[in-house]
Amino acid sequence: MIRAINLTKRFGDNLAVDGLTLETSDGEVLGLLGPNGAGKTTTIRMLACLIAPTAGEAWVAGRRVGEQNDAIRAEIGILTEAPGLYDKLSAYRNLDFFARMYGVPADEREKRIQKYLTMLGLWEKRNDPVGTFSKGMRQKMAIARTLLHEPRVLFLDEPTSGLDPEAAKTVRDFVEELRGQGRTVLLCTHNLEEADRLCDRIAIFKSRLIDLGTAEALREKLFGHQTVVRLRRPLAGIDEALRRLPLVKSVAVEGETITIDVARSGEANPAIVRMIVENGGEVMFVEEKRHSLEHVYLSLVGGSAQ
Amino acid sequence: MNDRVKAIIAKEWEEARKNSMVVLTAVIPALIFSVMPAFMVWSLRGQIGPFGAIPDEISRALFGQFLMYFILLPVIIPSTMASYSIIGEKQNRSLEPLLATPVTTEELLLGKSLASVIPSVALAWLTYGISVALVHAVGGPRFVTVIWRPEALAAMLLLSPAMAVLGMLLMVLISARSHDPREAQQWSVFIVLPAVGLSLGVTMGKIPVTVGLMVIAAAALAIIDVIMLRVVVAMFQRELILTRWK
Repeated sequence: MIRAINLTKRFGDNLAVDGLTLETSDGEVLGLLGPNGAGKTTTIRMLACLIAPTAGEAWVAGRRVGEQNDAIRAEIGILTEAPGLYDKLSAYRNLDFFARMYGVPADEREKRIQKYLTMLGLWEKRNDPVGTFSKGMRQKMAIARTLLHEPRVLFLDEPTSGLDPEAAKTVRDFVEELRGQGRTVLLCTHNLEEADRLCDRIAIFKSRLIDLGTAEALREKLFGHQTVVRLRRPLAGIDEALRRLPLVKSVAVEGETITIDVARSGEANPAIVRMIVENGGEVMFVEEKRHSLEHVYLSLVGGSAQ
Repeated sequence: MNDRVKAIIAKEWEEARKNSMVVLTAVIPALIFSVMPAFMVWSLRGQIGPFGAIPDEISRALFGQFLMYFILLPVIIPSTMASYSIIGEKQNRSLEPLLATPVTTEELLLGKSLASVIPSVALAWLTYGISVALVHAVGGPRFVTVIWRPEALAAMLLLSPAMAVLGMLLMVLISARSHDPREAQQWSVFIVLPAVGLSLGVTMGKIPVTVGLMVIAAAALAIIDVIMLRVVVAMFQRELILTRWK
């Protein structure tokens, strides 16, 4: 649905996006995760045909960027960093204007405006000027605008940025609903929890693509699997015994806690527990240590900076 | 005119109606200009006497002033509207979502242009009608013939809209490169210079006032308008506007 090959954007001496290559499938939510100034918005703008790439090629909804820009714009929805609404117009008039810009037929416009304003809890406020709306309401308005023409591909740039927790949750729930509807979503964020929860795959990005995969695959690639065993009391010499097991890579013992790096935790854990019991240990808990996406992100982005 | 252009015009009008600054900058000059010819006639009436013929130089001066007012008016009004129209989008940060729609640059500029030119020309014609009525009330029919004659009507019907289009296009160009409406309006001073030049030429007797001249001037301006439109479309580069406007 979105395909980029060596996509590059340079502003004078500044290389904003450096040879980005990625591909999404239908109905996938791909997270573009990176620090401020990483080129996420520039990437979205290139794919949404708002700015031209300096080099490389891209296709969105089966159409080539740079050659079929108007057709691409008609098939995508873009949630820009700022809601960008007309403050003096009512919520209804704002959406009606954009529906007309997207060529939504007259007999469909009212139905769709009502559908999305109701879905986002703004129908009662439809006649109020959006200049009187809170930040969260404005963001919901911008989301409704993004969906009016039922686009197949959505570009969401920091959809929960600056929202209070309640508004952010509404927006996240809505993105999950979009995934359920089979739309392809490119989600730019630096909210790691959001990316972990919403995205099928995550592209760690800092001008260039640092890594791409599911959150789980990225964790495993960086940290492998770790099993943590807690004993009733410390067990002398257990580290040496565990290191002899075939799937164990390393062992760290700290009092009653043993942390073991393993190749495949599902296969290694029964042997680990058996070894501890055979050596006289009393196992209280066995758990898999799960690194946060933040840990993964900082390791990757920090590593790329070095 | 397709639905997108109509939607842009309707949106611009609704926004302008709700912006007191835009309404005031349109209505105040219109009010002043509708009264000015009558005021001039009132001040000249004493010099000519109640039944005397109007001397040529006074007639020329009066017509020159009239031309300045009524060619200036449709230039001033769209310049204010156009500056708010483009820079307002910039300040609202609404231009990016708008440019992300399938709207073409031509549709966008046509919609914004017509949204400011149509009410400006209509207001100029209305102001002209009011000023003719006021001149009649103050000076009687002999003064009305100075501004209600074929040359004046040709100027109002042809020259005025052509000037309005030129003023608006220049304003769009300036706005696209300015950061706030005031800066754009400062530049708009230069747009009124042709109207002032025409007025001075007529007052000093250097430019003969004929219907033919008005038609030729309007045709020349129409050609300049078309060239200008192409220049503006070419210079309205979406990417530069999005990446340079902060």
